[in-house]
Parts: sequence; structure tokens; C-alpha cells
Amino acid sequence: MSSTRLLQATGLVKSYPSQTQPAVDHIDLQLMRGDLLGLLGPNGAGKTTTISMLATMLRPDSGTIEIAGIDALRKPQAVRAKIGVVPQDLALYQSLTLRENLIFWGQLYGLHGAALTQRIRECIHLVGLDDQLDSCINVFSGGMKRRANLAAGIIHRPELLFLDEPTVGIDPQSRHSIIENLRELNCQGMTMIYSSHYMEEVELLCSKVMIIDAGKAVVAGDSSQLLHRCNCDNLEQLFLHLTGKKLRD
Amino acid sequence: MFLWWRHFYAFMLKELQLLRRDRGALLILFLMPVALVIIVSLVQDNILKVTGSRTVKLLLVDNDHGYLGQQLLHQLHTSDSLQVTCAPVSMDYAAAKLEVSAGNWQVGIYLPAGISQQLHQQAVTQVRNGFTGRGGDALSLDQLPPLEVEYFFDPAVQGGLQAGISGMLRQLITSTTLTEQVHAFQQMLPAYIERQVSSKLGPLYAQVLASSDLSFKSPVLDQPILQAVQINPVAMGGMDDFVQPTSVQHNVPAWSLFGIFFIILPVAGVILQERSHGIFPRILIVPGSKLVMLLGRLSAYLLVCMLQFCLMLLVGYYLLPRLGTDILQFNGQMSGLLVVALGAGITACGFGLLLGVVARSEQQAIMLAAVSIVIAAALGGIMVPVYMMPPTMQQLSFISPLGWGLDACQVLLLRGGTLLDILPQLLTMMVCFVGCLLLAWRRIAKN
Repeated sequence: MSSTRLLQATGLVKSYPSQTQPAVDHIDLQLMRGDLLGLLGPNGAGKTTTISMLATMLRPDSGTIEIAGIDALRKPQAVRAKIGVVPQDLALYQSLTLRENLIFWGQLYGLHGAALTQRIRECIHLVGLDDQLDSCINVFSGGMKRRANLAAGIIHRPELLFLDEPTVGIDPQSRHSIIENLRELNCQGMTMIYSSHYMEEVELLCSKVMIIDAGKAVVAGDSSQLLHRCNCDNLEQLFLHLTGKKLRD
Repeated sequence: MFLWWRHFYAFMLKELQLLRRDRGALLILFLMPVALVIIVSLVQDNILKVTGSRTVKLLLVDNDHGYLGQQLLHQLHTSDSLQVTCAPVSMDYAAAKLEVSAGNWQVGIYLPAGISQQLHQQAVTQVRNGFTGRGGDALSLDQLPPLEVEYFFDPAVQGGLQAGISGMLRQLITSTTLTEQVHAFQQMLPAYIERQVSSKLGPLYAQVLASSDLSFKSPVLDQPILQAVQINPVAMGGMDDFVQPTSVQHNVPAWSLFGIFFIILPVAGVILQERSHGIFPRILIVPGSKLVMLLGRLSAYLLVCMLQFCLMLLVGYYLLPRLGTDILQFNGQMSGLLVVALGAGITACGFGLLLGVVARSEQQAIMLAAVSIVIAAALGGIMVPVYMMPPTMQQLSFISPLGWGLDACQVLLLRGGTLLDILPQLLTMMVCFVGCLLLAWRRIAKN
């Protein structure tokens, strides 16, 4: 696997009019191809804002973002063809079938004909929804909807995939399935940024972690090295050690 | 370019698929306007046909049994809009009024006893006074009781119908009175001339006059020398053929436009769904022109609007005539009508886009859409013609997009206009669409 740099973000800053402090305050981020970065932080830390800026959904107030050698701020259209998003919301049309949803998203990314059909088949096989292709999303269980959401996010084979809490509210079996799917995708070369509150997931999946608190990067690096450096047994301990136990909301 | 076409097609297909699954929306978009146009056309067809169907029931209570009653009855029978019935002898004035108040008859006329004789007397007295300058040996008019033919309406009868029948009755009474006066004049003139000539020129001239025929033939009052004639107005486009307005000519375009504007509901609904379910951000990061995606989305709904409109035209052309109404006549303006429908659809889609962006929930969007469409329809003259509204409302009607569309249809269907004549209405619709689009875009950018 190539170890070239895929993502380089420097000095990202983003403020919202209603807040006195920046939501994201000078965050630097670097990802090599094949990396799977876990993005951790308390509620309101700035994870979603960071992901939104990296995915070109939000424009930072300052800073630079380069993805696959392309300036994302100057050429967002070129970058968007290389990235995918699996949002926390189930971004699917509930009254359409899985097939119709995947065709829609696939066509938007330029897929068509036999290539689209084949890709749909691959995606639903990966997420284990082979026999649900012609069922409407609104009859799916929570776990099935999450898996369908993942399928829609990877339909176009993105080089860089952003996942924002992709396993919220689902049963352990579905969560396990999604984790395994992501691991397989990562093995195939897909680079990912994975944001979650579930520490065990991040520990299982991610080789690198970044912990954000109050818009700032508290720590970033190889998860095992961080655990060793901070003398913690697991990521949850590390997280609480670095961010504290005080409630944030 | 190829990718743009795929984006256009993907959005168009997705919107049609969503609409296909929304049965409630389909009912509102297709069944509701059809039901409205059929019911309203049939109802108004009866009201607007003042002539042509005997629907107004009139009860004539003739206590006089004289020539006035016969004269009135004869003239009322010649009217196509009245179904005249003579009350039985046992029915008196109070009973007749009760019958009409109860709605068994729309109009009642009461002729009091002796009115024919009184009319004759007064006519003779008036003519005699005209000759002599004073009452002579007849009773003076001041001493005679006033003559009245009373008529009364069912309280439920509308003002327009009341005015029409009142006018007709007054005309009949005036005509009958005039006839009586002419007869009196006809009878008195020869004797008056003879007296005058005899008194001035002596008995010799009276003998000459007596041997001459000085009969006065009264004019034939059935052949008027002055009458009001209704003519067709000049067509805007200089057309020779001119279609008379019917309930179908008004209602089919009107309720079609009403139905088209309900496209606001699915347009706003899908956008709200995308906003609330996180689909919108996902769409935003798809590479490609957002304008093309928007056009693809709008094309789906415009296609539905055109299908709606064509269905309504078919109803007006094929179904309504089978139910007894007039046929919808296109005046060769089919292409113009389709352009108006397209303009209305574009305007509606623009408003739907804006509503989808600013509304905070689907319930809010539904309520706002429904209320605004009904208000726009009322202001625009869909239910009541603009010229019948109070002046303030007439001034407000210019803000109604449905009013622009209806006005354009009326120019094409009723006033003989062409596409050039409806350019102002079409441009206004486009400006409205662009305005809604800019506001929606600004709101999205702000969020």
C-alpha cells in the first residue's frame, strides 16, 4: 500500500456567530493513504465541524486543506469526486427502495449502466443487504438503515471516507458488521476518518486517533503509543484522562 | 456535459419516484382539481345560463281575473328562464307569500282584484287630462288609489337573479301600461278632434269631419322602433370567431391553475425531508453543478404540472359536455395555454423551493402552502371574478400568481389574444420564480 499523503489540513479555524469561542481552533491534521483515523471528543468539541470542513461542506474561516494534492478550498468540485461521507443522519430517501437510493447516489457520481449495477451489487454484498434491494428504506430496522447508509457512502469508491458516528443506535450485531465492513474497506486501501463516542469501536478499528476538546486538538498519533505514553489501559481511560470527567452539556 | 445530463436525469427520476410513492400527493394533484372543475362547472353552468333553461319557478296569484293577468301570463310564458304557474283560486296573498318564503317558488307575483279596471280608468283619465288639461268629469288622479303589482322573492334567491327578474317585470308592467294608454288615446282622439274642430269652425266642418275616416290606428307595439342589442366585443387579436363565456371556459383554466399550484406541497416536502434527514449535506458535496441538479428536480414537477393541465383540458373537452355543459373551446390557443401552464408550474415550483428552505417542519410547510394557495386563488379571481370584488381587493389581486395565470388564460380563451398579449403575465411569473430562487439560495448560503 502506498504511503503517500492523502490529506493535509493546516490551521483550521471556524467560528459561528452565536458563539464566543471558535468551534474549531487551529487544528492540524495529516493522513497518509490507508490510514484510519479515529476522531474523538466530547459533545460540542468540534468533531462534526472539522469533518464538515474537510468534506467541503463548510468553508473554514482560515487554514488550508489539501486532499490528494488538490487545494480543497479553491477546487472543491475536484475534491468531492474523491471523498465520501457517511453522516450521522440516515441520509437516504425513506420512501424509495435501497436499489433506487443507490442508483440515485451512484448516478450523481457518474456511474451508470452495467458498472452501476455491478457496483451496487458489490456494496450491498459488503453490507449484507443482498435480499433487501427492492425493499423501501422505511421498513428497514435501525441496523439495516445504517448499513444501507454505508453502502450509499461508498458507492463511488471514494479515496477518503468520512464517517460521523455511523453506528449510533443500533444493535451489537449490526455494529460488529459495520466495523468488519470498514476494516475490509480499509484493507482494500480506503482511507477513513471515523468519528464516534464508542471508544471500543475506535480502539478496534483505528490505528491513529485524534482527541479534540473545545475546538483544539488535545492529542494525536498512534493509539498504542498514546496509551503507552499516558499510561492508560484503553482509549476511554486516555480520553477521560485528557478531557476530564466533567459533563459538557 | 455528460455528467451534467446524468445529474439532471438522476434528480428528475428520483423526484418522480418519490411522487409515485406519495399517494396523498397524487390524489391532491390529480383527483382534486378534476373533482373541483366538474362540480363547480356543473353548478355554475346552471347559474350562468339565465336563458336556455327554465329553472326559475314563478307563482302568479291572479285575483283580478282581468286582461292584465292574461297579458302578464302571456308575456311571462315567452321568457325562456321562467317556469310560470298560476296559483289556484283558493290561494290568497298571505298563502302565496308563505309558499315563496318556504322556497317552493323563487318568485311570486300578486295581482289584486280590480287592478285591470283600475289601470283602464287611470289610463283613460291620464289621456283625458292630457287633452283637457284637467280632470273633467273623471276622477282626478290624486283621488285614485295607487296601483301596485306586488312581487316577492324566495330569500335564498341571489341578488343578480333578483335584479334580472325585477327588471323584466318592470318592463312588462311598463309595456302593459303604455299599451293601455295608447288604446285610450286611440279611442279619445277622434272625438276630441271632432269637438275641437266643431267648436272652432262650426257644424259644417263637423259634418265634413264625420264623413271622413279619422280613425287612428295604434302602432304595433310588438315592433319596437328602438331596442338594445347585445353585440360581441372586438377580439384582441382581430379574430373573427369569438367564444361566448361559459362556466366551462372560466372554470377549466381556473381550477387547473389551482391544481397546478398544489405542486408546492411535494416540492417543499421533499426539500424538508432532505434537510431534516441529512440528505441535503450529502447532495451538497456531490461534484457537479447544483443548478443542473435543481433543473432536473424542477423538470420532474413541471412534467407533472403539464400532465395535470392536459388532464383538465381533456375533462373540459370530453367529459363535461357529456354531463350537459358546454364544450371547452380552445380558439386555436392550445400552445398558448400550455405556455401559461408551464409558467404557472414554474412559479409554483419556485415558491415550493422557497417554502422547503424556510419552513421548519413539514406540518408548517403544508399549512403555509395550503393557506397561501387558497388566498392567492381568492385574490386572483378563481372563485369570484376580480371585477366583482371590492375596490381594495381588486387592487390586491395583482399580487396573486394564480391571478396572473387566470388573466393570461382569459386573454387567450375569452378575449381573442395571442402569446404576445400575455407576455406581461408570463414575465411576471418568471420574475416571481427567480425571486423565490434567489431568496432560497440566500437562505441556504446563510445556513
